[in-house]
Amino acid sequence: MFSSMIKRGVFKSKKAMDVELLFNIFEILIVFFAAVTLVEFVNTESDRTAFFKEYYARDAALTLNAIYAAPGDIEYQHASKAGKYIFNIKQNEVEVFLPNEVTEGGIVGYPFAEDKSYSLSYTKLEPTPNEDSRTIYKKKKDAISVSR
Amino acid sequence: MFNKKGTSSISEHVLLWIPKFVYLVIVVLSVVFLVRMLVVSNIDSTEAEARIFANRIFYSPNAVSYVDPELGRAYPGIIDADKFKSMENSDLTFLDITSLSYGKENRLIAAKLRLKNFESGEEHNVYYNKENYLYWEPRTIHGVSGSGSVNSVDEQRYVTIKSGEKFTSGKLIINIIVRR
Repeated sequence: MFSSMIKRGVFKSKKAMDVELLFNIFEILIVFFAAVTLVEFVNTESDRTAFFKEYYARDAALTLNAIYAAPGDIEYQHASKAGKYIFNIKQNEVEVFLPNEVTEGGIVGYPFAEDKSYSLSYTKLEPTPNEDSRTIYKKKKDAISVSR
Repeated sequence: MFNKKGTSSISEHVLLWIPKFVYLVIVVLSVVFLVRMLVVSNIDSTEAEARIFANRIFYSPNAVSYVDPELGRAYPGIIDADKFKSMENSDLTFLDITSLSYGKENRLIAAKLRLKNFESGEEHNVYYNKENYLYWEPRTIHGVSGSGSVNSVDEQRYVTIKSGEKFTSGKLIINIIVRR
């Protein structure tokens, strides 16, 4: 194939063809290196539990804020894929962490605003057997509760 | 290794390959940029935070809305002017302590509530988390994002102002600043 290309004048000489080939190999190496780096980056991002803990902590804190904002009684079932995480709802903060992170650290928290005229029961939501979980937020008269 | 002709041939090739490499670098960088743009690695919930805060101000019976003392019901579109004025010159209002309490220190959200009365032309201002509002307000530069920056959100609603037994029309403007 290459000899026919030389004959047709695509490459002016055999030496030029070698150089061309070298550059092609170098080019492929660069592309391969970039692809490997990208795949590694995407894998690292998808495995990051810190991101999901931050996401779920904010999600729960904002939901609690919205529950406080809603006039009247309310029951809201919130479906998510946060079954493996522990949610610790304490004063002015929602903490999210994995069971093995109680001692190892890695707890992510996000604040929420409490209305002192309501009584919020501080609770710890334990992990569920499945990843899919349903968190139930209830507000009845002056009491707010969260359960799974 | 190469004779004069061979060296010049390589030099020619190197020169010819420069635009190809530039093109390759542009393509690779574009792919990297696109992947980094599509993969979400930081969460910005400041807008949602601000809107929910505004709703709490409007709907909560413990904020600025008028509450029927017999029924205990809050009227979200009616602002209790007496309640509003009582908070006007306070550094720490019942909004900070009771209705929207973030505990000892609120390093997340601050707001300024402006109540304009269309008939009398009066304007009253109330601050929520005043100290931080005054500190963050000069930093609300549009388009600046990232850790430590703040997001400013405006919410305004036409309201009825109840002062004693008198009802007048007006507007409540809330400027909310949320830290990223």
